[in-house]
Amino acid sequence: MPALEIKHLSAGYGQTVVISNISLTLEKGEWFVLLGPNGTGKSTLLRCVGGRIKPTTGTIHINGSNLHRDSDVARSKLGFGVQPEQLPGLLTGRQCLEVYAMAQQLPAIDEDVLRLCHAFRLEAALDSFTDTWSLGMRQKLAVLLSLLGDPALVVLDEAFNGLDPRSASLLRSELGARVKSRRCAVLLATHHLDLVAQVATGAGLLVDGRLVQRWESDVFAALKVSGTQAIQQALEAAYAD
Amino acid sequence: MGLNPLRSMAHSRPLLRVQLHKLQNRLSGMQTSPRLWFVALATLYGIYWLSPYIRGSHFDFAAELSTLEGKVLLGILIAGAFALITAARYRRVSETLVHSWLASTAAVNPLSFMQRFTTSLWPLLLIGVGVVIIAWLVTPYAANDSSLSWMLVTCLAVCVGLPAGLFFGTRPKPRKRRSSRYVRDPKAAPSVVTQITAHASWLSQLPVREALALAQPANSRLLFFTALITLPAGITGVMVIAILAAWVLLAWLVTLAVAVPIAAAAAHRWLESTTLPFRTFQWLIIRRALLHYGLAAMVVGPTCVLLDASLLEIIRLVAFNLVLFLAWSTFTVFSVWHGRDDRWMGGIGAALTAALENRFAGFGTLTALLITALCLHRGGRDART
Repeated sequence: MPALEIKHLSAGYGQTVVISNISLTLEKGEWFVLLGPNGTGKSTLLRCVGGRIKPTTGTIHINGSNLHRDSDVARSKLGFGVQPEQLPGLLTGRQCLEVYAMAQQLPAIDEDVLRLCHAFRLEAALDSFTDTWSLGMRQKLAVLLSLLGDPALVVLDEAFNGLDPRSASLLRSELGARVKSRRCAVLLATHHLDLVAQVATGAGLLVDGRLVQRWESDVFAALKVSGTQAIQQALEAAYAD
Repeated sequence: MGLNPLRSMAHSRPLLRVQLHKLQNRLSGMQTSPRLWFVALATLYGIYWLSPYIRGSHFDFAAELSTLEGKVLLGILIAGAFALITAARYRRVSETLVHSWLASTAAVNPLSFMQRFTTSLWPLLLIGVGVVIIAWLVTPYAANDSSLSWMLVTCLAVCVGLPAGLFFGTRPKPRKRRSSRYVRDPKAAPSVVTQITAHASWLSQLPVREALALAQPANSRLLFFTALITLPAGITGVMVIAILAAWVLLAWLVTLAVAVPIAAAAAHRWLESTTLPFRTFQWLIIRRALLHYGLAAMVVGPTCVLLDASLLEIIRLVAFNLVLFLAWSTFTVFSVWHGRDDRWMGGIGAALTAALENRFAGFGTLTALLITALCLHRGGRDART
């Protein structure tokens, strides 16, 4: 079953329609990157997948479970990376991990996540309030939380922003390993074409709330071989169309 | 530079025009700032309280208004209060400029400390001198026998009001980073993390920590002055301690009630995509705050017994307050869960419920229980999304 199946999704805020008629399917083992100019609905789409916005039309299935009808099962298979500023400032990093594990009905934090926490060098700061942390540290914690419970789908919005090069490389490796072993699919919104060229197995261009172009894995692999410049040109061509 | 240096600068620099609009918006908001009106009222009260030491008797405002000298005096006092508010407003103008997003630009940097200081100070001095001159001109005509004491009162109004305006006009520090200074530091743990187990109770500490952050000195000094105002003259030291303790307890309970929706919003933004159900979320958020309310009831109940209150009445009062807090917290958490901020509605509901309880004993408690049950019943997963 696909890790994520979106059918004819439309959503917005109040009377404003932000995304319309989007369909997308991701299998486990895929790292799909959402590209597009600012304000075209990337984050809104991710928030829909995270169950934070109720779509006006369409359905979302995560690992075969409907996000709205079978919400608990679907959410238990979802790892949503919150924005760093959404972390509660008056909890420590350790407390955030403990509460989030409880909220995801896990008995304890996975070893993988603890190992990554150690690699991120977050341990020394784990017992201080997160509102004293830097942006990068909070970003790391947000990513760690999204990986709790071995989710089938990891949804990240600009998750590499603010990370130092070493931590970004570690995160790429961790997510890459999970994708490669087909443990999960990753849906990432980003503007970093270098990152896209390194890790993505597929990509889509979102313009004015519509998914105007999707590059499947074989086409995208050929594009990646040609480098970042080729991806940039393909994006511009698709945008011009 | 003209009479108003901000306006002159803004006229020559387009970016500062934007900033000036921001300042004007802030100023219009300041006119109704409860903090400043509180200070103005506190000043008037202070003058009233000190008046026996200056003119030998308390002011009777109703009686004073019927005489010319009373009207003049009240006019002067109002002018003093206005001076106070204006001083605080201009103090905030200066701070807004210093802390603005333009603070690092070439347009703002040349403003030296002295320039900023005088920007704050000149209207203050102008109004202060104006008030004193008016008082000087009017009081001898209005009151032949007590002009000197009136002048003293007016000077006192200005001397107390203007520094108080400067003091209270200080912008509260940005909450997010500063707040944690007032929350006790967490205990350090071993640096090498080998195991972390799921633990829910931290979520229930969040409202208490938010309340501690809200009780930072910038806010609690207002409470302190309010409490001082309520102290009647001529009471014993024990009574002073009792009244202040009652204020502290009441303020803490109110702060906790205010902190619940804030903590709920912070937690909900973060946990929205998890499997956490509403009832668990709601219980985790309010349970420690509810414990505080329970402990407060255990203190207040026996105290009321010592003061010879009826046992039945005490039980009814304590039960109502506990249920009212339960209803308020459940309702506000429920609205946060649905992505809304209905605190004002919750406040009106709480006031109506209290009025109902006051008019028909027991009905307010029942209404609060009904609201709680309704929110718990409707707070399901589907409703959230």
